[in-house]
Amino acid sequence: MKVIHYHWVLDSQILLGDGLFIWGEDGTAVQPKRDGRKKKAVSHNYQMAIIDLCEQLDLSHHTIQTHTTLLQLPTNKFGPVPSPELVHDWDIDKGSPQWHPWQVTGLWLSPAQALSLFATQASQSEPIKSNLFGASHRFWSQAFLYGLHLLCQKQIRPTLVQIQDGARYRYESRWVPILDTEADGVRVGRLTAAMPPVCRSITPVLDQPIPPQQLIENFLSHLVDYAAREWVLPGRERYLPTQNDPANAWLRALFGRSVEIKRGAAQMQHFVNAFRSWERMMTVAGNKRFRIAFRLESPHVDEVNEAMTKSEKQHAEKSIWRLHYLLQARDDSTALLPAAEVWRQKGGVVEALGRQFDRAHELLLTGLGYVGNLFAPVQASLNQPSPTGVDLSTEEAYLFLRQCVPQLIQCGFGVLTPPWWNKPGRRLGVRLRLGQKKKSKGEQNISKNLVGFDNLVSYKWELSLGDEPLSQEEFDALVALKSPLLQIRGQWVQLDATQIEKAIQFWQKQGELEGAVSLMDGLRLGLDGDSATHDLPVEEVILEGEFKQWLDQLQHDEALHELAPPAGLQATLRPYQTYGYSWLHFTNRWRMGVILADDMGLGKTIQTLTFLQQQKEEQGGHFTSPVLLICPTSVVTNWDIERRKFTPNLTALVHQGADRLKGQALTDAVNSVDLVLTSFALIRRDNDVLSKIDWQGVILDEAQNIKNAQTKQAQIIRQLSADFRLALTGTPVENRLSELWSIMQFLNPGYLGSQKAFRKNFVLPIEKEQDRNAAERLRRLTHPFILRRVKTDPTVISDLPDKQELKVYCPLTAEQATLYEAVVQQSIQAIEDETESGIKRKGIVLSMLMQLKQICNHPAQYLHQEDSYNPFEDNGRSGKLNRLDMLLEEILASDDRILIFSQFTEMAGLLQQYIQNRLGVRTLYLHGGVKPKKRAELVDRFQNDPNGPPIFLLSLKAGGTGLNLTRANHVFHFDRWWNPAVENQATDRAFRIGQTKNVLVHKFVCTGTLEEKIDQMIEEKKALAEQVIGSGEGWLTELSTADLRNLVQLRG
Amino acid sequence: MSRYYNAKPTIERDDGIKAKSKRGQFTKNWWADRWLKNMEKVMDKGRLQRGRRYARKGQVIRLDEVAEGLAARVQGSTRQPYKIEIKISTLPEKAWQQVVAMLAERPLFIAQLLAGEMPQNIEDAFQSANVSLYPAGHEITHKCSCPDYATVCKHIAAVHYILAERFDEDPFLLFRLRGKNKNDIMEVLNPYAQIDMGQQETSEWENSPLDEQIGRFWLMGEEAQALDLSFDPPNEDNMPVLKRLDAPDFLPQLAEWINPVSEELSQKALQILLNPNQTKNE
Repeated sequence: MKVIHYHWVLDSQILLGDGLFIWGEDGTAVQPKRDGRKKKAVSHNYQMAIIDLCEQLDLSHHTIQTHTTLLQLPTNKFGPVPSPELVHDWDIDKGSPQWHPWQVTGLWLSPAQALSLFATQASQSEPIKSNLFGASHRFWSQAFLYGLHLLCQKQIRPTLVQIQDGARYRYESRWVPILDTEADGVRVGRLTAAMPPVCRSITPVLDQPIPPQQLIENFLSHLVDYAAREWVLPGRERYLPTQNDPANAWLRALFGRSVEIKRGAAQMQHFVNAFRSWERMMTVAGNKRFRIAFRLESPHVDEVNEAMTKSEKQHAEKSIWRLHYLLQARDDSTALLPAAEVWRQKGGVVEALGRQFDRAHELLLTGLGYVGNLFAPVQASLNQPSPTGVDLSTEEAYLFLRQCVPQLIQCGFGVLTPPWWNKPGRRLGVRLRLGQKKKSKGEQNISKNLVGFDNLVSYKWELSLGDEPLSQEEFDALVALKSPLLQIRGQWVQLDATQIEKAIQFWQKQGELEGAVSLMDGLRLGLDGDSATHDLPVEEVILEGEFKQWLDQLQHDEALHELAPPAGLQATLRPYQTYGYSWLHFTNRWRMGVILADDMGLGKTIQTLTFLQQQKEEQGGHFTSPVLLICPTSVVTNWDIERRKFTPNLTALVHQGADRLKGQALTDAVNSVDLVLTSFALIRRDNDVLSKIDWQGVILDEAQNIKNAQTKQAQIIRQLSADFRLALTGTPVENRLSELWSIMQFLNPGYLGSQKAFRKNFVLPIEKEQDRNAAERLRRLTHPFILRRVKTDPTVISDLPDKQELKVYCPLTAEQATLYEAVVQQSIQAIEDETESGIKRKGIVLSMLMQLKQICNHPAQYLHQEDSYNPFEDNGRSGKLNRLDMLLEEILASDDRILIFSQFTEMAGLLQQYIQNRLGVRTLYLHGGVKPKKRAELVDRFQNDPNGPPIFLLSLKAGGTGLNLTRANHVFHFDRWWNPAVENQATDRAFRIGQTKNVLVHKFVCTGTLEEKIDQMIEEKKALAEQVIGSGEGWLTELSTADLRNLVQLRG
Repeated sequence: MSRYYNAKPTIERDDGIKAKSKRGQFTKNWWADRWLKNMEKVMDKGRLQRGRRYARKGQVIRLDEVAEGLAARVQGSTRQPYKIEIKISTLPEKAWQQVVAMLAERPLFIAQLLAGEMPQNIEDAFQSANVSLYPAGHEITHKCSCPDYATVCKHIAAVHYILAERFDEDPFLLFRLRGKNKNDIMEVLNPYAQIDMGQQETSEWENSPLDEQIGRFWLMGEEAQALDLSFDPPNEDNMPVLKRLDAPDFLPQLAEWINPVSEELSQKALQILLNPNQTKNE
């Protein structure tokens, strides 16, 4: 398909000024010619058209400039090597690439245009199609996020820029980012290291491209300047002072659209002096590469012993602290150079730690001179030559830590405090005890009885210092010592005034320190104590007694009591399925809404049915009220088939189709069965009846269907009244945050807070800030509610057969059904009319079978619309394709690899178009027309290319035998060859020596059609079938007309 | 000519250097103040007052450091601005050697100078070499092209007031006028530095050539995902930069202008991330 690349460029690279150059590769181009390697640069031979770029980015080509430039690209005989994101089906040369310049035409966006584009993309709720963009786009988007972070943190300042223009100077007012804090040094360092080389490939010389950090800083500077002028400033201009002096002119240029300051040269020179003097404090801490840092070392608190040097002894005895002076690299805070080393080396540039510290002496002295004004001991140390540090008393050390450190950090100095400073256990904190609420008469023990989420949990907050709880008396005694830093049992702890103040406030809240909360709130506190707001840090959450046991069980830490399978279950559960069903039962007792998120093929259906069957038996053989199961249209039938097979005792109503029940008839029917099966679409349409029922339970299959919480459908489903709620999904729901919230809101309303709060507390930190703490907190909170086993879990894998066959039952769409019935009628008529020639009859039968199979596959195949087929306009015309789409999404989410067989090349072609365009996933395609050499290449690419396409489409004839495709662990038979041996042979492309995973075989069957009928026949008489039908479909032509009619007739 | 002297009005200019001080004290720091005091000792009150007025009105239209001191232009009542020369004698090299050796013994002096401040007892270092940093009367000579007979006219006075502002901002200015700039002093402190002067200064940014990166040409490093960003605005209303920089004396009310902007920007940036599809851009 297409991949778009972003280049932030400087004026020196493209003479249009700083800005963004955008171009793209087009994988739909015809195989590029191999002639591209002449001496001089030639035009890149598969670049995206300008009009395409504009369309994809939603830019108007009237306002955007185009530009042609040279790009250095890895090149081999093929030409420029495509980016790994590019989907194409060209033959690619494998030769190792060399650099070669290519002429590329793309869009040039001014900084304002570019940043407005970034802002639009950043505010899109759904992540933009990743397959449309290359790494350079991901990189600059990340840099843009960083810019937003700087704006949020107010890390910007106004400055005055002096630009040489011939013999004169020009002056501009600019907003620039503040990047010299310790954390930002590391951030810029990481971005610098991560920049994909492609971002720097607009360069005439390979050994001197623009340094990455320069590009990043330039980008960020434009970003904050643009944001300040465009986002907030308009409208302020008219209030600006009008005086004509340089300072006010500077202010006006800072707040207006025009950045230039036009004042006389002498005036400006004088103003620049004043300005630089004002700005000086921004640079006292160091330069772009390193900063001055201070490390405070606490006295050795061990006993004084003989092994110590004299000065060590002295330090230990007198509690003497040492403040060391150092240089610290900006991009790596662990690269530290002691001042002694700086003084030892002579010369303008100190070399150490594999780095160059230029003007080290001067900058070290500057920093010390500045800090000396803040902290007298440092100033005193400067009366000796070559100062390397200073000794401090405990009081001075505290003063330094408390007052100086924040100021120093603010100014961009590096500070290394003792490891215990501000650490849990070394300062005052609070601890939370949670336990079961003490029984009063009449109340029941929590683990014995079904009470649910309204059950009460007791809580108690305690003050603590170190590992010990602190009573009020003990606290008062410590405060009386009046020392901010104390040694307790050989360890330094903090006890400073602010903390004492907060602790006093803590004691004042006496009444709120103990109490009881609901089980749901208790669970939330127990899993995420930090969410409680106290001014003191929460050091620990202690769980006690049966509440702890209960929580451990919930967190899957403690073995669950496993239940025996219900009597009415007509299947044998695998061990992990028994666990899953027991877990459903256990959580249901507490009325917790949970998510069963097992991998596809592990049997979510059977676990759910078993659970329902068990409920029915527990309730004395009949449900007091029915259970509603909502799933996608394409799997309703599947559920009913499995129910009949495994738990025929559960009565069900399939609520689907045009002739479905309405009104009172529907209400009556619903109330007479155990289980109502319906689709997401119908729950909305028949809401009037369905929402009035008091359901015993509501189950959502493929619960990701309600991922968008605002949709009408999701709202209706949330409002259904039910005693229990259960969600099933095969996608890794824990990684899809808004989906997770929406499903949890359905299951346990309010547990994760409002959607807005959830976005602020979790989505933003996790998705945009990559905050691992927030991710961990969310994981803790939701872990008890989600059971997800994957095929590769050691506990699961031993229970699984190596090869598992799944029938995928798909309903026909209305279009398919109409076509199907027409063909059946017409053909049967023709067969009845044809009484003379056996050969002719045979021909008609075979043609009918062929047409019916095509219809089952896709109407477009039957109607021979391959050429006009547009995957973007395919709105679910084929039941099989709808189901395939769903399954592929789920499988691709777990990085598995897939083979799809069809006996029709037309169908495989349609599938390729659909998958590549609609799902944006690359595919390989092997059919009879592929030459042997290319065939070997395809197989090699699928088996060995780490970035190779995850899906391999094969025609059954061309790919059914001989190949070794063990990298796949999913095999799809999109249509059926009524011969198990042929199908098995195809399956064995993946299921053979070399396969290390379990193989899942998905066999597609259209319900109600001849496909289902033949499938049944094969299943019933497998042995016989292999003899009878061994040679293909010929036997079908021998059937009597009545049998034929019976076979092909469409059943509802 | 002197008959008309007072009758002719001063020509006003809007491209001159206006003193920041509008009334009262001219300087912020003792070391600049001391310069003015030295000058005021040798001038009469009237000329001083007129000089101050000139400096505040922006009549000094140029002030440059030149080889032997300072050169300036002051707009008076004639069309042609007056030319002013202030010559200050530099200290002998030998004296400097001694001074710098003294400075090396007590890094505090240099450290404070580098941090933008004149050390209180700086003259200690100069006295050891029997010289002084501030020029004595005989070490400084003035020349002005105006017809005033006094050695120090109001034009010269105006220049001194503007000069004092520069002292405030740059304590090294006095060192330069006495013959050594900051680099000279750092070099003497750190004797091998001179050898390095020929070397190219290390560039501001690390660079890595593209050549060896052909294998990862299209790939982004994972580090970019670990930026540990935060979109929680800081608790304070003020910009962090205002903690690091005092209010500038050329624009004391700057904070009132930039604080609301940063506050609004902070909100706006968060809004872009929190309220999908509601950003208003042009």
